Amino acid sequence: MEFNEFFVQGMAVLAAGIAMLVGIGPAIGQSLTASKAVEGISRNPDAAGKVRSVMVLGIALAETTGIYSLIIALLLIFLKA
Amino acid sequence: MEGSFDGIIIMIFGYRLELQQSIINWLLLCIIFCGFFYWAGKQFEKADVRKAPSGILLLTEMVCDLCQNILKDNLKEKTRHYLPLLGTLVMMMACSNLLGLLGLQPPTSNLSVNIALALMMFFMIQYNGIRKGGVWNRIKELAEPMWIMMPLNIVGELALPVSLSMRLFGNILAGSIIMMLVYTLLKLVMPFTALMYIATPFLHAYFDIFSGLIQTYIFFTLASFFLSEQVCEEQD
Repeated sequence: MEFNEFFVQGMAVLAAGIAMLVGIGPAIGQSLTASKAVEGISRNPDAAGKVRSVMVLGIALAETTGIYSLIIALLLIFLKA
Repeated sequence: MEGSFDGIIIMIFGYRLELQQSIINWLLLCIIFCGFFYWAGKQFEKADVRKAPSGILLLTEMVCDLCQNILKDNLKEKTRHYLPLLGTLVMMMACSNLLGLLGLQPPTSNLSVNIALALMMFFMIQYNGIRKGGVWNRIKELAEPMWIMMPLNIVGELALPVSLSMRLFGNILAGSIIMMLVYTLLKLVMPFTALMYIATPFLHAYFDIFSGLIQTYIFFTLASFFLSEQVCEEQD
C-alpha cells in the first residue's frame, strides 16, 4: 500500500467522521437534563420558569464537548483534505 | 488560500494586513453602535425626567435592563460597576450573532474575535483576583487544598478562555456552515427551490436567533460567574 497524499486526505476525512461520534455523549447528557427538568416541573409547576432557564443553560453547557469534536473534525477537513 | 480570500488588504510600511469580511462586519457594528449610543446619550440629556420614556429612550433603557438582568444573578451588588464593559459586549455579541439573518458573515464565526473577547474576560478576572489581596494571596488560592494540586488549578484557570472562545466559535461556525450548505443545495435543485425556501426560516430561527442568543447568554453568565468569585465577598 502506498502512503501518498491521497491516503492522508482519505484518512483525515475518515478521522473527522469518527471524531463526530462524540455526539453520542452530549446527546445522552442533554436528554437526561431535559427529562429531569420535566420531572421537576411536573412536581412543582410554579418553578417552571426558573427550571427552564437553568435547563437551557445546562443543555448548552453539555453541548460543549460535542462542539469541541466538531471543531476537531472541521480542522481535519479544512487543513488535511 | 489566496483565491478564497474576500476582504480588504492594507499595506502599511511593507506589512501586509488582511482584514477579513467578518472583522469588517465587527468594525461596522462598532461604528453603528458608537453613533447610536452617542445619539441616545444626547437624547437622554435633553429628556424630561417627569415624563415616561418613549421611542429611542425606551429602547435604550430596555436594552440596559436586559444586560443588567443577565449579569445580576452572579455579580449581585457589583453589577453597576461592571455594566459599562460587560453590557456593551453583551449587546455587541448578540447583534453580531444575529448578523447571519442579514446574509452577512457573523463576526463571532472568526476565531480571532472570540479569543480576543475571552482573553479580555480572562485578564479581567486575574487582575481582579490579584487586586483583591496581592500576588502572594492569589498564588496561595491556587494552591488549595494542597501544594500538589497547583498545576491542576492552573490548568483549570487557563481552560476558561479556551472553553469560552471555542464554545461560541463552534456554535456560530456550525450554524453558518449548515446555512451555507443549505443555500448551496438550493442552487443545485433550481426548479424546486421555491418549495425549499419554506424550510430556511426555521433553520435561521434555530441557528441564528436561538443558538446565537443562548450562546451570548452563556458566555456572559460564565464570565460573570468567574468574575464574581474574585470580586464579590463570600456569603455564608
